[in-house]
Amino acid sequence: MREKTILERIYDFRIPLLIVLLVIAFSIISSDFLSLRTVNTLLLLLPANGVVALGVTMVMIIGELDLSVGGVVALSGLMMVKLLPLGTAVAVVVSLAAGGFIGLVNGVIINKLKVNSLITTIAVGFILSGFSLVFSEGTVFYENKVLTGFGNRSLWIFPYTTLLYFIMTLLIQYVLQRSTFGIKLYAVGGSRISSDYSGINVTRMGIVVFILSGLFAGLGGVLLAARLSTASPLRGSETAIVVITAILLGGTTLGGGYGDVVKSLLGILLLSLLTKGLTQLEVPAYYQSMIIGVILIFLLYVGSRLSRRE
Amino acid sequence: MRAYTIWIFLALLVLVMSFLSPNFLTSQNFTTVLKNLAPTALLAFGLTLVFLGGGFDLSQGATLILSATLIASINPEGAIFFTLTVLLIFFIAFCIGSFNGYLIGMHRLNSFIVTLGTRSIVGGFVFIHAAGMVVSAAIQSPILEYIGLDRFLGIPVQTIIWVVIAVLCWFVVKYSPYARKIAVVGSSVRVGKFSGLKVEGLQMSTYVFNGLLAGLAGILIGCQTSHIAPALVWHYDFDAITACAVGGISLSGGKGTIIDTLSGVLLLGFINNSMIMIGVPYKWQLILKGLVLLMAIIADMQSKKSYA
Repeated sequence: MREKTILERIYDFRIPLLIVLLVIAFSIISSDFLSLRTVNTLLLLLPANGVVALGVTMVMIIGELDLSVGGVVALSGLMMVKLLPLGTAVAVVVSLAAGGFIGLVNGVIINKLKVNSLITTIAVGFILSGFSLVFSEGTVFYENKVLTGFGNRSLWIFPYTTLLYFIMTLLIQYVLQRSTFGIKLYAVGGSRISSDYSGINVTRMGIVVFILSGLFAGLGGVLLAARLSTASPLRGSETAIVVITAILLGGTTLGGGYGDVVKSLLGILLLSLLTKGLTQLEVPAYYQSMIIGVILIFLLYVGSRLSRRE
Repeated sequence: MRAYTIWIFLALLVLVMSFLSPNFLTSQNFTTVLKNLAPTALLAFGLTLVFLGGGFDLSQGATLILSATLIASINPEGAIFFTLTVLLIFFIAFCIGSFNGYLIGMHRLNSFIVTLGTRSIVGGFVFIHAAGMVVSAAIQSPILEYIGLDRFLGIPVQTIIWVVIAVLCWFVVKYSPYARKIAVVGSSVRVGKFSGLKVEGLQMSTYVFNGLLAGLAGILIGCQTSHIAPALVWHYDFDAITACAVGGISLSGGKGTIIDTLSGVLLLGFINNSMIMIGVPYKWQLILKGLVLLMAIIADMQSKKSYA
């Protein structure tokens, strides 16, 4: 293997560098940007999309995609709010289980019936938006001190939900790098056929990954509902595109077999920083979704150029 | 075989519905169904070509809304001004299609993700233009009113437009060497390359074609209604995907005819109409249509397995 040039070394650290540059830029433009308060609100924004990205990253490592996560976020949030009278724990557990079940349905259709994962999850997402409307046609409010407390309180500048997200990221990173599950995951993403020949149950791995993706998307919906103390069928409409953009930004690739969840965390951090800064500069939300679209296409373009050069 | 199944389904649906609802089997209802199909049909024909070339397009709904909001808010009076506006819209649609086609065809990027990004960008333009609100402009121009609401020889102008486009597309897909080449590229890019076809240009052209048809569909919607809620119109592209899948257009490329698409479009149009007639709530309509799409794509995969 040849030595890396200085430029390539810098490229490896592009995400932390970009984060630092953005922080500097925003603090020059807006004088009240650099404060503990801003750090706290920024960290509070991470977990809802971040936990969804944990699952989607694993789906991308295996070489598939999940576009139904937005539908799961909306549905699980609404479900939790509607089930709260039965007890907080029951509501949370059932909503998570619903997410896992949707993931199971996705996984079985994609891996057993061998249907394209993108089109399957688009169809499932559409069905989920119908079910969300069955639960409620508008925003629902609720009062539950335990849940909203967990969703909003902080330990110094670290919100509880963000700490949970960081711990889960480290845990999954460890599983991906050290366990047989992780090794198999990268193997299947690298080459399905050779993994199949070496005795890995490829179908089962595929189904498990989609169940995890549904489960984490369900958790994303629960955390979002806990932070906002409301749920709405319209929530999650941007989740899929934001999460995929963040993951690609972090450096995980579409082809499969490469990437990890710490990369995704950095991607989520960078994207949230950008959104937060733009909001502080009073840029309307529609511009932000456009900017995300531009970043997404740009990343794809750069990614394909780089992989071709290799 | 598959094509006949859809026509039989359609006949059964019409039969059952004419018993269930007295207003179903009337010339007025059929005229309405055929007229309301115009945007879905145009999108589905464009999508057929994209699918044939082995691609996918999620951005056509956004192009449609952009074009609809533009024509409704410009509201051009007079033939010259109208022609210029339409040309402008087609030019914008052409640019969106070329942008998709350039990245997907020339640079071999993932068609789902590219068009998801384009959808976000174009949708952003619509929201900026409309400031996030429902676009509402009373249609004053007689030309717009004629295209949107009038009839020619007793048939709505919109129906005539989409049927003419359908015949054109049918002719192109069935008889032109161009469509043959696209089908070859769609079933295998390698085979296409080895046979000396310009794979990149061919795939790019399908997105341009699709963008233009989405632009036309948007013009029809803009002429018809003065209220355009950007969020609602998203469902047109989902309907178009479902119509293609139901009609039997292979989502993995290389297989499909306009007649297949037409059967899917008609079936979906009558399903939508029947659900409204029986009084199925909107939320259950979404769920049912999603299930129809899911079954159609599973059937597509099963039929491919039996080939191999």
